[in-house]
Amino acid sequence: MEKKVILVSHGKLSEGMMHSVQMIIGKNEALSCYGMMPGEHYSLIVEAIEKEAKANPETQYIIIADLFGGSVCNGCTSLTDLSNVKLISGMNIGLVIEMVLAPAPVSDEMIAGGLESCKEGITHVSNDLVKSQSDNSDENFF
Amino acid sequence: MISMVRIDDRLIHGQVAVMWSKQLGISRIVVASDKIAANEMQVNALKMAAPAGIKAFILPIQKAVDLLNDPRAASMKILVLSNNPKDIYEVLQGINEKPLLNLANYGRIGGALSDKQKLAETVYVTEEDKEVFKKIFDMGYDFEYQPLPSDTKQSLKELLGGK
Repeated sequence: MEKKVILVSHGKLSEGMMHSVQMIIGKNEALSCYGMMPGEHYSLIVEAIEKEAKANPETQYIIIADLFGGSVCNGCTSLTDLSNVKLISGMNIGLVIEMVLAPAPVSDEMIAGGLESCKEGITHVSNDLVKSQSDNSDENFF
Repeated sequence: MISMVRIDDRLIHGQVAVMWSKQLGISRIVVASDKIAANEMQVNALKMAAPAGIKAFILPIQKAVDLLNDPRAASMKILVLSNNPKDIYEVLQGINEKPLLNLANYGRIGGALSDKQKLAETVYVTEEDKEVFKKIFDMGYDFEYQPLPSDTKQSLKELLGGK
């Protein structure tokens, strides 16, 4: 099964996110994006994705939205009725990379695991945290 | 076992932590540098940059060589990093294996770019670097210029004009 990851957001976040992700993992044709610009309606995005997902039932679509409860995410909720679509909110670079690199088809368990590991990356980078990393001993190596 | 040795100004960063570690199934990252190992701030920052499930060690060169030559390291998949060819030359002289060498993101920081020769999009070298590379080539090695696993490999020897 093929897989596509579609980033959706208010404004240019999704476009910028795609650019940033590609700096790390290289260009990836499975990754695309839509941004809802000021004055536009989210239905443009939802319709475009719906059309693509219906035309390619053998492809899995992982939609990653910027904000839970935001209108773009809310609009995309209707797409989850399609069996080849999954929707995740709280877009961040770790999550996007995880989903692009995950083998298709991505299961609900894989999404849950990916979210857990991404949450670890959302953290307060304090002095204490930095110091806790510093065990450089042999015993720790082997 | 050393899965790969890489020269990269940025050491542990996204391309290395995400893509190469995954591609090679790395379990340990060793940054070999006397200078960096002596800087506690840098050591801690680099350790934090290691991805979940991979332990990073920032070690003086001799210490790194000792660990890499330890029989217990044979069953591990280790990525060795440094930010300059001299360190890598020293590591290669000390270790018992003959690992794959990789290079990307080198020479863009430190010194004026105008004094350097551009070999690839992300690689700039000085005359001094070239001397060191030559010594490494004389040991029977070449480097692959390859920023990401999905990028096409180029031989450093060829980029340097076959010297």
